[in-house]
Amino acid sequence: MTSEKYFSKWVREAGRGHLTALLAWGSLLLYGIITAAQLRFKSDYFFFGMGSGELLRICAGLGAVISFLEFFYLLQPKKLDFYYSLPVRKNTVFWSRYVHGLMHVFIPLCLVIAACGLYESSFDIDFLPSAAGYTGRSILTFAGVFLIFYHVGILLLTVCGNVLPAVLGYVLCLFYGHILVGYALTPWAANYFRTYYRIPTFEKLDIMLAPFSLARELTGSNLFDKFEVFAYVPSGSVILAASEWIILPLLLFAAAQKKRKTERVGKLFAIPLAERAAECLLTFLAGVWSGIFLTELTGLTDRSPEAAGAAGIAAGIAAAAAVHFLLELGAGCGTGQKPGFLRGGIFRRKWQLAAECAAVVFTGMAFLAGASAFDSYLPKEGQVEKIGVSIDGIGMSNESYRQIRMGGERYETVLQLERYLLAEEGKTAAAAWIKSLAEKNRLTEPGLEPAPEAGMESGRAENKAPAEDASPDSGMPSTHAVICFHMKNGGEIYRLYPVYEEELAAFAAVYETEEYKRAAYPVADNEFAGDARFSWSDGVTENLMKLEKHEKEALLDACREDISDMKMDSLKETLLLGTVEIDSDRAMLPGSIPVYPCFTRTCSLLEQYGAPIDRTLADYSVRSVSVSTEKENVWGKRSSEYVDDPEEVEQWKQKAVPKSFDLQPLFYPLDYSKEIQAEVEDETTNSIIHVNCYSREE
Amino acid sequence: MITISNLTKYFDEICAVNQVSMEIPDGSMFGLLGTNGAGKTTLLRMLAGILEADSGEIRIDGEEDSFSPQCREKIFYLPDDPYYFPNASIQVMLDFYKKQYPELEMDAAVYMAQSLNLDQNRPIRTFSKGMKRQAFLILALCSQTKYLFCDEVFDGLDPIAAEIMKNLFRQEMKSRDFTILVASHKLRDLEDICGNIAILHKGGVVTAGDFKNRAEHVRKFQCVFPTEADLDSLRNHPAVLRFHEDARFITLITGGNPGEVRKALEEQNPIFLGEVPLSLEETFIAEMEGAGYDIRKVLQ
Repeated sequence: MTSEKYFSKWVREAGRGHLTALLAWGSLLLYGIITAAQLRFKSDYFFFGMGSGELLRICAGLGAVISFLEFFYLLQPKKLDFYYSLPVRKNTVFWSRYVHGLMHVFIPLCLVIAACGLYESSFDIDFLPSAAGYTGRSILTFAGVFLIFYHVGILLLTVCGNVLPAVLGYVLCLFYGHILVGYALTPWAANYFRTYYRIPTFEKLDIMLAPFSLARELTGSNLFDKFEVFAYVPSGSVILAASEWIILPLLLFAAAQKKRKTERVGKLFAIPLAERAAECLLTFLAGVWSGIFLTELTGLTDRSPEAAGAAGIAAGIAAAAAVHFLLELGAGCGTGQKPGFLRGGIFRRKWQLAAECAAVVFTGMAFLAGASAFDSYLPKEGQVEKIGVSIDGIGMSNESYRQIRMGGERYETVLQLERYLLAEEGKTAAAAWIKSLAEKNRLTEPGLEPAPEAGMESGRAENKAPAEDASPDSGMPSTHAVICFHMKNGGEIYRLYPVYEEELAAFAAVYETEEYKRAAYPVADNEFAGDARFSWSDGVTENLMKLEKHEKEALLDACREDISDMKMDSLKETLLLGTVEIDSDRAMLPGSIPVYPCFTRTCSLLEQYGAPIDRTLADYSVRSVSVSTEKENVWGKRSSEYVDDPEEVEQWKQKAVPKSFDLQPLFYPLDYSKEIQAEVEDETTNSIIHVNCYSREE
Repeated sequence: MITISNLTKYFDEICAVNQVSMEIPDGSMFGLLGTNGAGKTTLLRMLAGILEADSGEIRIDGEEDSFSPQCREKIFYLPDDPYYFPNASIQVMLDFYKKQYPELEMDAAVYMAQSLNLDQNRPIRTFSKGMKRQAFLILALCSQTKYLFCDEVFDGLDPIAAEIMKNLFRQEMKSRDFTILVASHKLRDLEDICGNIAILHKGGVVTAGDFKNRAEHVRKFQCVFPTEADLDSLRNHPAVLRFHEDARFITLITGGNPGEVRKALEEQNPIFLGEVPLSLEETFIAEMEGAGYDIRKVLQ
């Protein structure tokens, strides 16, 4: 019998029971039918290939389940004896099952994706230009996803001798990278690097080391826009990482299946080296995680980073040793073997234990020793292409600012770092300001603590300094600045600096550059203004202004000039008068221009055009007011009061400021302890308007 | 012929098979005898190509690579608890084995199954233990392999089923060049069918060969002596391998020169002296105890 026939005979034999075929063909065909039914109606946000979370989960699930179905015989002593006693080589049985599993996923996957591609091309004109590319990429990427999960499963089944470690090992493989990077290494950086905001390398590692996150990146399952999905090509680093997840396990299990000893079936590991590798990985993770856990628990990093580091490393060593001994104790339990340490003494793997502890110490030391280098690092101006700047409390609502100060999500910071991206004169000003900021915080010289005259309690740039407490003598920073250096080599470097009163004032040098103002106060180009509708908003109602094209252009020019002349300090003096709202059918046209009292040219024109720029909430007829007051000393608890007494209503409406005017909580704070909802009677439309407001500080 | 040279197998620190060397001649039925843990199954699994030896060599018909499919086509391994596919019937297993052993005689298998009242289309899982063993024996015998390795093949079978299986072995050995290697922990299972037996103990071979021939010089005497007879001199006689005293009724198993032994017994003026035939079991006891081994457990 030729070897090809012999192999194909075993591929057919692997299909006994038809479970793999049933599962793969069943799930993929079902997916194809359901997808085809939905494509016709939801083709704008429903994708049959890349961008489909459902297909991602199906392929990942099939990879995991089929690896166990095909290779479970490796954990069954009776079946193994049966196969290995037959006139066939062990690797023929192994590789025939591998091919059988592949075949039963690849064929239906290609058919289903190709059929869906043809079907969508028949009715979706947007899809047609990218049909071939998208369909081809979808087949390749989802085959890649299947291979990642399939190979990891086979590797685990090959190196393990028992189903429990195989399943646990699989789970560990899926989550190890994410736990290590997200819950151990990142907290080390966040605790010991005073200017830590985020490290993109860690974030990339977090994705690359976690198969499911990587699969999402590979297949674009986190994208929602139709055209973005159709054109999506995974980045080179994602393709490289996916290839590594496919090839490395393949090489490992190809070698392991040769080395695997039949008699080790039933034990935890069929390959002794795998037992050591698992011990090392778990011990290292436990050590690194415990180290940072203790550090965070004691909160020592603020007072003495060195002492915290030493305590963290000591805790890491203790945890690593404890986990090592526990694993040694556990090795063999339930498999009829003696626990490992009974077989060779408690220190039977002393050098391995030493290496594990050394790795924990090295990791801890790397963060401790690298802290000053990290904090003092400032890229040279020539290396930086753009600088993104976001200062907490500037150009954001109090709700966002408060969330940031409470240590919550920094959605607004992320948006600002994209919006305030300086590449011209703003970049030069920002670079100089950042340098002075770093110098002020004494971060440019390695090993130096922040200047004592700054009165800082510690040099850590945490988000816990409430601006209202900040005063020149309080010793607390006024706010924090997040900086993103976009390097010319494509990299991104983020830093978070505490900003004191003096540096905040110095930020005017950046704020007052034309480039920064263009980002902060975008004004539509005159050419687009012709067909746009202009209205004046006072925070309560909008008044449409019937303007000719030249009037609109004149208004926009006036706005530009006023913005150009605007000083940062003026933000501390007054609130908005209102906003010029520009409504257009054109997408991406800047829609709202804030107008401050200092915008003399703009105000004059608006008056000329009949906009009631002096009208405030106080000029409206307010029927009643609901005041919700934060209880003192009880955070999050509020008391509500309904006011309809005309005198009291009159008092409240004089103090109320629409929330939409609260754009500079750092420069012009309001009384945020009171939230007011005013019930305004709109006489022109004879309706009631509910306006959410804050109160002016008394 | 199967030649085993210095075969050694360790399971972690435990030596399961220790420097085993033996030859299994063609056309014979070779027994492997030993207590649980003696290394019989490990030896069989190594011969069947399931386990790899740590050291030593197995040559099957002189071939160096005993793991090659060509070599393994000559072997059928029948374990203690054989595997069959879920819901598989004899027919399904026959179809499967036919692909592995192209020489398998389907008609003969069907005939044998019918002779033994085994429904070839009924799932094997519904068979009793004895029926399963008979079914697999049919598969093994009809595969037409040169060698059959059986592990505890008679264990748990009723005497009739065991006798049927032994007869099947005998018939097959008569009809073609067929060598059977049977491992058992009970001598009684092997004594009436195995010409050659190897005794394994703690992984090593204690002794091996044709014990019936080797027992020619061993005799069993039953005697009754008068009270004044010097039984101690008999007990300590160098030719006496086993001495059992039940009141005045003495049973002896002796080695050495049979004439000299009879003379020594007659010197004590026995009231009764008679020689009785030895069973294989008693031959073993004599051999093994003479060699200093306690193999009574083996012979239970």
